[in-house]
Amino acid sequence: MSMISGDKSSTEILSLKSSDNEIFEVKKEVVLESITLRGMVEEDEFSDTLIPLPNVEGKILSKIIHYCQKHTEARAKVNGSEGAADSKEIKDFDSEFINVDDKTLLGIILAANYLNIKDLLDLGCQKIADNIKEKSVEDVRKTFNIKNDFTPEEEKAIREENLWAFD
Amino acid sequence: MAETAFSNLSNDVVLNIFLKLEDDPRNWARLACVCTKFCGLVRDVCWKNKCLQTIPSIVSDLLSSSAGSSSDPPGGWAALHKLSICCPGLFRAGVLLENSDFGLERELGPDENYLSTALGSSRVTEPSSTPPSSSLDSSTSAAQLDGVVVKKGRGYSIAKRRRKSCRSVKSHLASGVWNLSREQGNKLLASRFRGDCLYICDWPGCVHIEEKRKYMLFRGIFTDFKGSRVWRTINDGNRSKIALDCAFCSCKETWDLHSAFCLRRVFGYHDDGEPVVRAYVCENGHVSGAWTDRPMFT
Repeated sequence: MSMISGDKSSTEILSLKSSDNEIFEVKKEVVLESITLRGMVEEDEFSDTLIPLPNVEGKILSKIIHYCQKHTEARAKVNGSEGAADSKEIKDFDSEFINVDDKTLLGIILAANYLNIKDLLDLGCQKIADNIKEKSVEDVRKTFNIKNDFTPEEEKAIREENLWAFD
Repeated sequence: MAETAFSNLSNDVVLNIFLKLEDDPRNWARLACVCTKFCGLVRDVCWKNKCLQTIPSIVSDLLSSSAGSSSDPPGGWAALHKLSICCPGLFRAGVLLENSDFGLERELGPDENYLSTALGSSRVTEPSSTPPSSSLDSSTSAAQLDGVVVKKGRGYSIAKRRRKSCRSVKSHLASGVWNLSREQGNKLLASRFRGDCLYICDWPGCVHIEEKRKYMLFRGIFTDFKGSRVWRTINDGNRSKIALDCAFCSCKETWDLHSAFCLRRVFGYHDDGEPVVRAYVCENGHVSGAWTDRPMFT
């Protein structure tokens, strides 16, 4: 999937390669949303402008690029005259964007952490937090594939200690 | 699926998520029950930082006075955090102890006629009231609430009392402001213990209106308990502990401060012999107790 910008400005295009060898062509300004990539680009390691991302699969990377593009555009608009309207627009975008299944959500968080995109990481973490809030202990384990590694005695003790939280 | 398992998240990402749940203390408590990794993070980071944030002077007093310059308060961060927000509940504040002799049995020896009722596994309720809305996670905790421990050898017995709801019997989030102050502690202790540093929650604490009277349940902590005069009094007097466990840490027994004469004498008793105030302290200096309104003298 390629996302070459239509406009003819001198904006540089960089290529990002996912772990499953999908190539994404992205405007440099969008790439710079990632602090990690910003560092790589500035160090000028990638003379052929192809940046391999072995930790991120294509499906997730595509979503991340979409997020970064939207936010770059929103920021550009704010510098114009449409501040308040965009704020609602971006909030709506964010809540729809992060409304994904648990597996994708974890993938986004892992990638946002690796790529160091703070707003996206916060968005993802907040979504997981909201999900956890309503779940029972057993459901949290099931959803996130967490093994209950307490011994029976430990589990009994920890439940007893925190019984007040289960009303 | 393994690549996107929660376990792959680094601790700071997990903590990022946990921090977004800090507004309701029950969230962290439930997360601590999920797995050992979460438990460790909640205890060592979340609850520790919460204590540093909400009760910084108590924390610094506790840490500066602890022997061997431990980085953890006595009883741990979990206990300290729980103490700052949880009411001990009627049971661990000693309100449910069978008080017809108010400790004399311990002083004078057992009374053969005075025996505890049998322990049942059913929940304790008033016959006319609705059943408690809260449900206990395990039958073990239900058994622990009902009358609990009887230690005949010590001549002290605990009988079950009928209670309006389970919720008021066990620990729960305290009503009122979650603040601990030394002034309150001073109001509780007899004057010769003024040098001891006891922090108690602000008046009136967590209010429980029971059929006989109103109880204002409080909790607190001695900083440097082992260096305190209260401790010396208990220790030198070879006071025996009672089988009432601490509401906050793993101590299974506590000392009755009222019968050890550590509380202000002026508080006195009600007509039925119940003390106006009672308090219990554990080895780690955690205190649970209950005020009642002073009786009106005619």
